[in-house]
Amino acid sequence: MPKIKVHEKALAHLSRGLYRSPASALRELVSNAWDADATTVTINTNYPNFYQLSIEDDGTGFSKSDFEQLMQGGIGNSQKRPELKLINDRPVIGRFGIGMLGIAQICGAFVVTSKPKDGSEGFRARVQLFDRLKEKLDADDPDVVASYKAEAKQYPEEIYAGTYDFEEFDGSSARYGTRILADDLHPTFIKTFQESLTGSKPVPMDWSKAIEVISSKRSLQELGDYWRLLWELAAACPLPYLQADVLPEGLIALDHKRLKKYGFNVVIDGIELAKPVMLRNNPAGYTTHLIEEQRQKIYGRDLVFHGYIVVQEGVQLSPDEFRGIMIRIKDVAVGYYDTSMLDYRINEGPRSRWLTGEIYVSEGLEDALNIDRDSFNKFHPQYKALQRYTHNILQTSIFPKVYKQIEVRSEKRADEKQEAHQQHLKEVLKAHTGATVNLKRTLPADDEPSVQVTETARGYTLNLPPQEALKTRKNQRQLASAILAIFEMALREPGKEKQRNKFRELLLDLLDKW
Amino acid sequence: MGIFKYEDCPLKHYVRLEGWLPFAQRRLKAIRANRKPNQQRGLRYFTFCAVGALDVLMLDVAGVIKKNDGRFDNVVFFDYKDEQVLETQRRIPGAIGFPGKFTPVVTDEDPVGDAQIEAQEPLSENTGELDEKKVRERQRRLDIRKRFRLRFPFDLINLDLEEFLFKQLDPFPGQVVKAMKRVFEWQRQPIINAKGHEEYLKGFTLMFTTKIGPPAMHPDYLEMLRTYLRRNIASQPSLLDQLENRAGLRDIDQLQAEQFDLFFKLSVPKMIAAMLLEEDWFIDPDPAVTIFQFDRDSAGGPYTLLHMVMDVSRQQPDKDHRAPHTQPQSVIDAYGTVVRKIFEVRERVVIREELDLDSINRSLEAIFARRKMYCPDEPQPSV
Repeated sequence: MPKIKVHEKALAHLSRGLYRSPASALRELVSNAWDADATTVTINTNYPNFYQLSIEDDGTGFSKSDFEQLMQGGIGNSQKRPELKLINDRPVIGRFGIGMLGIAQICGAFVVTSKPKDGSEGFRARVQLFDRLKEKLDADDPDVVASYKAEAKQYPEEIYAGTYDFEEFDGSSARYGTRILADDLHPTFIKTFQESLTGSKPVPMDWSKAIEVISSKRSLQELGDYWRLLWELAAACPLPYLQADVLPEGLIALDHKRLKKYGFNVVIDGIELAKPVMLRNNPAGYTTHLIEEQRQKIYGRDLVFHGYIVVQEGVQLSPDEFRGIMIRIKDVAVGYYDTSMLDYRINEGPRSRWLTGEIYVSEGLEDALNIDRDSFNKFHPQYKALQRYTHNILQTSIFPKVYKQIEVRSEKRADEKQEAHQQHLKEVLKAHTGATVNLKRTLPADDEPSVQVTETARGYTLNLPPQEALKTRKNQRQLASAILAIFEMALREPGKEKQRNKFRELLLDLLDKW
Repeated sequence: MGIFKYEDCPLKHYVRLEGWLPFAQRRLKAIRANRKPNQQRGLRYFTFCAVGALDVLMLDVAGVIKKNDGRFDNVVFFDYKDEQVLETQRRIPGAIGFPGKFTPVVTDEDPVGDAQIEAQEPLSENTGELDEKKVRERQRRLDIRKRFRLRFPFDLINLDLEEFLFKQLDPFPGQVVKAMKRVFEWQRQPIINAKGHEEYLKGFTLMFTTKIGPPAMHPDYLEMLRTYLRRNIASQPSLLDQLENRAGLRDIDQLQAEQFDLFFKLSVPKMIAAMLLEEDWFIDPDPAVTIFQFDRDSAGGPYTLLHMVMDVSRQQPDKDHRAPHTQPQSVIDAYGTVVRKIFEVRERVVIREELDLDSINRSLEAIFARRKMYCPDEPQPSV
């Protein structure tokens, strides 16, 4: 049976347009560093000029021959190495292999330097990517499409994305690990990032302060692309949280401890990143749901996940980008927070803007990943299983709790409002009579909703009718009761003229702050 | 051994400590003087600090440079290689680094003309050109120039070039000279603060380093330097006596032929003084130009380095408020004094044997410790 061939041009196209943002491309390089047992990844954007971008790790590095292999056809080959044993019990993220070329989206050339820890030969190489690769591919430019398979001329045998050249490498002074320095950044990238700083204050070097700034904004868009880069990287990388108690009820305490144990840091322009998650001091509190570890077998494959969902009661989360559910595979985010909550079909109105959560998938779901690692094949059985589980807890547990909380808050607010109205009525009457006024609510003997006024040595006691007895709209009963009260008090004035004047004065004062 | 060659050279560090630091401290004092607390600002520093950034860290240790929220954002530096910019930023976080060759970038007039570079948007996509390497490179170069200019003015400019001022193949008057003139011109720009208020510098401190030489200097440069000296002697004949005191001769040609080092030491500061004058500045006559000199061995043979430090003031009234081609009498007098002092005051020759090495090493250790604080994976050099 004939086999289906995949056109090699397709892969070459991918090398120039795989990730949706610079942060996504950098996330892949950070993942590579993780798999290389790095403890620190240092990113430098040449802030605030952005003429260059570098990412450097202190990991195991890779050798000149590994690099040559990668450049001569290895790019695009799956390099998942499940047998790999990483430091600190880290799970292997696994590379797709195109991560290094992902940076090609924002630059035309870069320099790779690596000094392996295993003593193999280090190197420094300049990679020059072809300009206008897509056009050249389409035009079968001989620089790019170098040769064709003999048996079928329409299938190119080799596609070239650029050239590389080894440069002088001083192994004695180089640091262990790998560095990629993009020095031919695209002017559009430079310009966009430069402009994103216009009118904004410098980013604090203390990331917790930066998160406070970010949390004060409705959207990252208000802060610009540079802040977005920081936030997206912090959100996407396998990093610990700022602290174990950044979420209520210890929701992330265990994950924080686990992530800390991995001993992995990402520092960008001197700022040490941590997950940009912080929810504290909401007056109405939080509704939380801890997702204990779930194990499912989907078509014979394991799907294991855990996580949390938290709802900030009554207050929209900020920034907007923090809303929704983030899925992490091996601690690395797939895309960012999904505001659709995995396409949840029930319209929860503003309540959906109070919700955030993370689901950590420790086994499975990798096959459901699209090639950009930013999104899923939504019809993959494992994705469907995760989606069903999530929607079920949203529908049967989380949102019912949220509605219950709304009810409780509404009742509390109504009680508070009623108390405030009663107090206001007392103050108005006291101001006019100069005496203490007590309010009681008793049903008169004749069941008529009227107000009884009793004068005592210490002041007045008003027996107000129960609100249910007042045949008016529910939200107007308290006002009706108060008006009856001032009417009765006004009637205590001698003569109609004084009664009319007193009633008018009392009514205006009552309504003034009602 | 430091992280780059000569970083921990005690002779060089002596110059940092005894030349650069006191001038920087005095400049900071001048900035702070007569300002209300809410109008204070940090000292703005431009440097060719190299990856070790020792000068910046020395000023940091001495409290001369103010960091904002942990960032050295008042420090601007240039470095030839992109990687060196990166390395420097690791050591002085938040400093503003420009990659590229300083002199071509600063003097770049590009086919479109200097004024147009300033007016246009260098990184515009609407160029009509294809998205190719050479186009991107040009765009980046022009943008670097534009953004670098916008960083001016600086309170402290440290042109620590450690190379020859006049290069054999450089078209007259030389890239460095042209770049310096452009820098002095840009120094007249106002600082625009966060509230949009403009502040024009009344003065700045200039530090300039050059090798003496080259031995076979192009005749055009030699003629230029001779002319500077002759003009001075013509206007102040008493300088001939000073010259005789220092060199034992009274003839400029003979001075050049027989005592080239002294010829260079007298004429180059004089040339800088004249350039500053043309750009509406002048060197403060007190202390005029302080010169440090030391010799260094290298693989290419020994050479002599000159480090010049000077305070510079803006001419008052400035050129926009006085008759064309005139200069205030006070400036003319100051210039005369400076020229006289260049002839009169001998350079400070730095010799290893005369240095307090313990004190220099203590200072270097404090600087290295500070650097390690900012860049923890930095190996601590042994002093």
